[in-house]
Amino acid sequence: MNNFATLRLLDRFAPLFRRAGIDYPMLRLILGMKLTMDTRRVPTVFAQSKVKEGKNYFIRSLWIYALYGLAVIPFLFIDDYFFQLSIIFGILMFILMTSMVSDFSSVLLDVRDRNMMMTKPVDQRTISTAKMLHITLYMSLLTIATTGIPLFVSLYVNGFGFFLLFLAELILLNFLILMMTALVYFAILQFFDGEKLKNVINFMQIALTLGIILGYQLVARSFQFTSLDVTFTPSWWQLFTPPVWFGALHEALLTGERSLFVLLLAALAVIVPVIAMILYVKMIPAFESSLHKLSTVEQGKEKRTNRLKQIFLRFIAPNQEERNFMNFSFAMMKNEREFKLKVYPQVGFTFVIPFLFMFTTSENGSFEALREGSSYYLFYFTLLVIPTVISMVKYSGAYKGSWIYAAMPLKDRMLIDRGLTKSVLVMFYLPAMLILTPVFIWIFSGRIWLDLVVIIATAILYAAICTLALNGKSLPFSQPFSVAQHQEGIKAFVMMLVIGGFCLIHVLFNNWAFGLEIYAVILLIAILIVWTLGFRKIRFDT
Amino acid sequence: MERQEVIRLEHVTKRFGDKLVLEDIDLSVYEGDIIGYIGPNGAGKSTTVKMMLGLVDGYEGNIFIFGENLKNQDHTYKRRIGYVPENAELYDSLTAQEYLAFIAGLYGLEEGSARVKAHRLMMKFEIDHAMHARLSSFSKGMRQKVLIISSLLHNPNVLFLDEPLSGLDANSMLIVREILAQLSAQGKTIFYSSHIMDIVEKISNRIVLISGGHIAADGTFDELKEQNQKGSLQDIFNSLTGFSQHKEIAEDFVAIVQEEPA
Ligand SMILES: Nc1ncnc2c1ncn2[C@@H]1O[C@H](COP(=O)(O)OP(=O)(O)O)[C@@H](O)[C@H]1O
Ligand SMILES: [Mg+2]
Repeated sequence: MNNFATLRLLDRFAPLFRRAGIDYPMLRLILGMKLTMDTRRVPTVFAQSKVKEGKNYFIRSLWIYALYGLAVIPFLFIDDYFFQLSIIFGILMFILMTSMVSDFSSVLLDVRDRNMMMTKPVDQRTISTAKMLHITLYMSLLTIATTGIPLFVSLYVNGFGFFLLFLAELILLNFLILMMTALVYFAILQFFDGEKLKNVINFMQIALTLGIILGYQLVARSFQFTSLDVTFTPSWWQLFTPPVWFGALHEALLTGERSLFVLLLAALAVIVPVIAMILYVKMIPAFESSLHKLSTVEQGKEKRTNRLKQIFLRFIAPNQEERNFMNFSFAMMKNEREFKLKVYPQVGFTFVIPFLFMFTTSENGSFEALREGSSYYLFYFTLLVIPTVISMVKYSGAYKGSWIYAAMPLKDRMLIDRGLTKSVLVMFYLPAMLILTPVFIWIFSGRIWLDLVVIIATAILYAAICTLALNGKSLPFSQPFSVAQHQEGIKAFVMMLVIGGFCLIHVLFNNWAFGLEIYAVILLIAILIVWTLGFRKIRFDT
Repeated sequence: MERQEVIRLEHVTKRFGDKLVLEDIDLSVYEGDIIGYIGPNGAGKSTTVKMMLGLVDGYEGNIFIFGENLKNQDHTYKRRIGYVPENAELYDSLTAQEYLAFIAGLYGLEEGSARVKAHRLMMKFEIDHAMHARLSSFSKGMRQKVLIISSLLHNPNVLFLDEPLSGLDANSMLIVREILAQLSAQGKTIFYSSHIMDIVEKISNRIVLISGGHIAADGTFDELKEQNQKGSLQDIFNSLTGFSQHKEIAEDFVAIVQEEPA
């Protein structure tokens, strides 16, 4: 339990921790326990409880980040430090920050540990540091996986100085991301309470994710492209875009740039992470003690049943048992804190990405050109939310409640999966559809109505496919959350590529007369088959 | 010899949101006391214990443990406290041995001797065969035993036990009951809540009944009997919590269960 390579590495820094007033043996003990738990999968109600000494699932899922990281490599060959590093850090910050916000928020805001360890004579600071190190460890692994190959390439292409500086900046970036996220949550915890607090956290997650996307746009806009040259155009908002700071730091140190503004940006790259860290360390005790707010449950008010909603549900799920599972899924998804923490950032994406792309493409042309064009295929981006949500629904903080599946006289297993899939569509896809469809019709006019119908039909088909591919036999809300379920992100990622496939087919059919009508019919038949026979197949396999 | 005061609650009031759970509670606990803390479900027993352990903040009034106000204490006072939480919540994916080693570590015990001690205690509870099995495979009673062991490994002065007997079989209950009695004879202070009235009646040297946010009764079993003119703690409990119609309620309940759906 306490012989992990990571811990032995950490041992070398023991004196440092001691000096910071942290009880090192205790810290090691707690981290060891966490790492042990990460290698284990808690057996579900139905699985045998064999102690399977597994690998760390998180580590096994890192290869995908190595793939993401390849995106950075082409930029290493550009001959302009400022530009190339701003873009590289833009990409890296995007990857790391989204992962931080959606995967590690729940670890950061964990209250279970508090209940377990607060009753023991352990210093609060030590518990928090252990938590922080736990996240840092995974963030570092993520960073190494993402940047390992680019770092090596840079060593050959850009030289040793560049490589070292890049490495140092990566460390600073990690600090920055970690501390920024923690400080944002800290601020929220200070100002809000009760149910509102939980909503604000989810809202903030969406905002953070959107902020990252927007920030990335700003980075690209910091540079002017003239035939062969890239020039930097200073602007006040660069003071708030960290990727540009890192670009400036490189520029300042490696080319000896002396412009005051660039020096200021470069200084920010170093100073802000350090200040954030000092602030964080100072605030740890207050942060932890305000976490208790999260465990306070407010008295529930009776919710009035919405008749319209009832009628709608009756329409899409005539079978009462299936409807029952839908309502159950709604309630679970609405109340599950960790689920929301992981899913909501993605929900933000769904709404914004189509417009972001339109915005970028319409840069070069007029609004008229956009309306005439075929940017409405961007509606396919709304499908992104489906695999993200579906890959998460088998987890729950209250997974132990899943004994009910075994104890209930269930007529048909299929109804569980179908009810669940429908509820995901209604809860996460329907709102996007209702809001975006009118907007799209407004932009592109009525000519695209059949295209939108096709895309929405695709969503319905795709949701079923996602359930089959991502969840297979696992029952909804029946497995505990852990850092390890990171692998889900990858499966979901692969499923996202499938969306591209659908889009391609759509484009192809659109080239023929009546192609779209034919495709719509094909989709309809496919929906009927997959939603009946496909779901039935799960049942037979179990 | 004057017995030391170990715990003192002064005007403690606790709200969750706008729901008042405890109102103006005053309570002193002395060394060697075995306090049976009883009350209906949701009376605030667990909340009281959690406040004393620093798990629940945001209360009015003051709590003193070992003579020090909790608000001014750091974590060190917990070295002398053992705690069994009510929901048998523990790190499920660890084995019993790993869990106990971890808890022992948190209490700063030396690893080797703690391991031996844990094993010997598990033998006494006859669960040593499951030493290396995951806690998630343990039955409720087995988990409870692990928790009881984990609360005693460091030989604490004060024990907070929140429904420590739940899930235990009759024999194990007898053992735990005897353990509590003997620990208290050694001068340990035990503060436990339970719903098993005849056990509370037999082992507590003081019974505190909490109901409606207030202390409804406080004294030895004999004192309570005298005050309430009742023969058993069950009867005292019923009368103090204003409860007499269990028959009628049960009849109604069964009638509702048997109703045909309209
Ligand atoms: N975290 C919480 N948030 C809101 N209300 C709570 C919380 N914990 C307990 N309560 C409420 O406080 C009251 C007392 O609970 P508790 O102390 O657990 O009772 P018991 O005496 O059965 O142990 C209950 O009404 C419960 O609903
Ligand atoms: Mg309780």
